[in-house]
Amino acid sequence: MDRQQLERFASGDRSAVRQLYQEYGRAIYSLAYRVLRDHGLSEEAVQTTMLNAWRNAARFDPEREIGPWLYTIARRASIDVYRREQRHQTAELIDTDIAVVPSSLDEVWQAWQIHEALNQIPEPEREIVRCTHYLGLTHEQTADHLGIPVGTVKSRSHRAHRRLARLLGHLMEATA
Amino acid sequence: MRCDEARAEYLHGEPGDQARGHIDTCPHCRSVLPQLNAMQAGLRDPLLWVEPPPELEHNVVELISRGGEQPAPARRRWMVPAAAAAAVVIALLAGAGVWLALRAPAPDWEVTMDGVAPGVPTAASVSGWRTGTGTRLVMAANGLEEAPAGYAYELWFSQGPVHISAGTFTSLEEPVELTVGVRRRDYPRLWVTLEPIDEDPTPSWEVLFDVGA
Repeated sequence: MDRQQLERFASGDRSAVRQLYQEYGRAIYSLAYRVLRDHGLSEEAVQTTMLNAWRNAARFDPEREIGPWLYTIARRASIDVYRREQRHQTAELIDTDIAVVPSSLDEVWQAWQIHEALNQIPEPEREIVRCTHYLGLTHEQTADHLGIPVGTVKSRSHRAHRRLARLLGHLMEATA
Repeated sequence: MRCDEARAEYLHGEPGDQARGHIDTCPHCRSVLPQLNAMQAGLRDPLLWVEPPPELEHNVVELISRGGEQPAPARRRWMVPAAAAAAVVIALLAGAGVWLALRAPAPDWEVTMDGVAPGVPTAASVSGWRTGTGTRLVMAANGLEEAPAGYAYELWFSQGPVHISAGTFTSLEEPVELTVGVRRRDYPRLWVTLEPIDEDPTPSWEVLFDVGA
């Protein structure tokens, strides 16, 4: 998202809001679900994240990467929802400090980075990656599943993994 | 074979002999092998592929287009004309007090927190409304500067060693609305800290406002 798009987002322009959501909605939702393990609460966290991003967009430096900024807001929103829900469940029972958040926030950050990389490959290639890693399908099974030739699956898979390796390498080096 | 080709095959999970040989002998690729393995595991993680419901995009766009205001609950849609009609009747009958019929409900409690840090306003106010699941809060403090980059303010409810966050905010240019899943009678201390934005869920003890300690 460039400076102009960010300014349009800050002004509440529908198309800019939609664009930011389309770029990061999956990543935010996945982060929220990883923390909250509840679809309804994750939707709430996504809405809070987008709202907080919109409210703070005018103060965001467009020279910086938007992903880490949005990640910080999303993580905070999810943890706030998590804490609130924990309080609902334990407020009457607990007698020690309950300000505890889910573990494995390193995993949350790593997953966010993978989402950032996936965001940068075309949707058909992303679908191939999903079939390969999440569904565990072979090239032939993926071709059957998606109704496309095996050769297309192979070429898309090759391009997708080459791009991912490069993007993930860049992200990993940036945060190492 | 180039590094990115070898890494791509490795990431896919079926490296050929050439790619495997490259990874085994290339110091650059060997140095990122742990990260490649972690990324490969990450791609297999079902949580990575959780999809938001399709209607969420529309809901987000609508929410921001409305300036962040949640849609009014259904019952309030008929209550508005009803309240307006009632106000007209009251005005006709009594000639005064119309505003009483329309104003927001008074808070169940209000408290003033003392400023306890140099450079912060002398006081901040918090109003609370009991809800079915806890308390809705509105906090205000004139003159509080925006939180520095990388920090946020956090409002806490405490009873002894139990500290419950009511949420975070970065500015009080306008009053902020927060919610907390407890009632003030059970958590008499209210305080605000300046928190670094990190994974630490406990209070930083950099206290700005405090009451009931």
